[in-house]
Amino acid sequence: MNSETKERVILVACGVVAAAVAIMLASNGNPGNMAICIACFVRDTAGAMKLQTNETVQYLRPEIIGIIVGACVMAFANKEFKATAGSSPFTRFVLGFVMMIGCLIFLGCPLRMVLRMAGGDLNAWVALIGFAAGIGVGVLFLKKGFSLGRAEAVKKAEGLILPIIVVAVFILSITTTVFAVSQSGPGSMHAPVVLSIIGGIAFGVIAQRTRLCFAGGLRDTFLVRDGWGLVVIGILFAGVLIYNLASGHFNLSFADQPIAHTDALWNILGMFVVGFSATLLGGCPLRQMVLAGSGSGDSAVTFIGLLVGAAFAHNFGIASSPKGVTEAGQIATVVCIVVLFVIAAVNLKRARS
Amino acid sequence: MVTVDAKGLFCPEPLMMTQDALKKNPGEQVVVEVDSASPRDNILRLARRKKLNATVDEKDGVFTITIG
Repeated sequence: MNSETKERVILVACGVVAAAVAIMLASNGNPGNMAICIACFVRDTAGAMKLQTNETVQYLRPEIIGIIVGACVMAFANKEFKATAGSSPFTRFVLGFVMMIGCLIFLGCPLRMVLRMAGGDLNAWVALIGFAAGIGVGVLFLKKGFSLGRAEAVKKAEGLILPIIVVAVFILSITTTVFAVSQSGPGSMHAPVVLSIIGGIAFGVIAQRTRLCFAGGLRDTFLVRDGWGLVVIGILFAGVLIYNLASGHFNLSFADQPIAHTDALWNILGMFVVGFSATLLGGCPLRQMVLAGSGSGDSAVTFIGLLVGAAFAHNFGIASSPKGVTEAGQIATVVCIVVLFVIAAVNLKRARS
Repeated sequence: MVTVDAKGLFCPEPLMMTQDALKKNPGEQVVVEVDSASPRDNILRLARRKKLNATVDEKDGVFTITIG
């Protein structure tokens, strides 16, 4: 088997396992069409830490811990762990914050958008238009020379801080009652801890190995006609779709979808914010966590931006709910779009080669 | 020979810089330096799609990719 064929086999195998993990988590208690949504689970984790106090979305999600740890383990195994930092960290924090606002307007990260699409949720298909448009606009700025600058190699300890902290937090969560846990709502719906942590680690390993990125897949297709990154996403979509069809979970409609709203304009604009910010950041929320686990201090800062963004979204009534989008959410979305254009415009000078 | 220094950058920037260098210098050898695995793999795939030979050397965490 030559190296290209071997790489294809690995990609397909990883896609199948990713779909199996998503199905396993959803069928064992995680909320419908959510399975392993990064935005939702970072939001629940922010709630568990009482950074936000919405009692229905508080649970320290082991999947989040698992993804960072799995990526870290895989990066070490492949000798790809490299501690780096210094590529506009505070701009990345803001972009992470903004990306989370976009996710919580739509109600899901790009990964959940794909899972919702596979469940027949037509709102997610509508949101895909906004996501693709956001990536398209981001690509235009990349072509004009957008860059957040170079990262430098730093001491290994810098890259290990986040993985160590999340492991410590996980141990606290299973041995003490310091973290808040929802008694009702999405935060109360979860798979057993052991399945969640194993599923998360498996997902982190796969995502690190395949460079899985829901924004990068489309971006590279637009930018360099490279569809490689879409393979795992396509298999994940197909696997979950087949499962939903076979198990009677497939429901083709706009209305009555689990933890979703039907406001098309704001679904589109929310995912536009996500696509645009992910393209400027160089990756979707999942990819940021994987890079953070692989030693990137810049992505670790982005992850904290996601966490703080989620806390603000719920503390200030910005996040949507199945009832729809709030006025605060609409204002925040417009502000986020303006912020993204400003960040894109002021960073147009690429590092000289 | 054209050298592209893409160290410290993450994709798609190294990929775009390589593509620019190949476009501006047709027929010339292009040497790209990157320091992480993801851009290395993306650049090798770009070379393969363009049916160009590419080799990689690694030294102290820096990958030097010679295309053409």
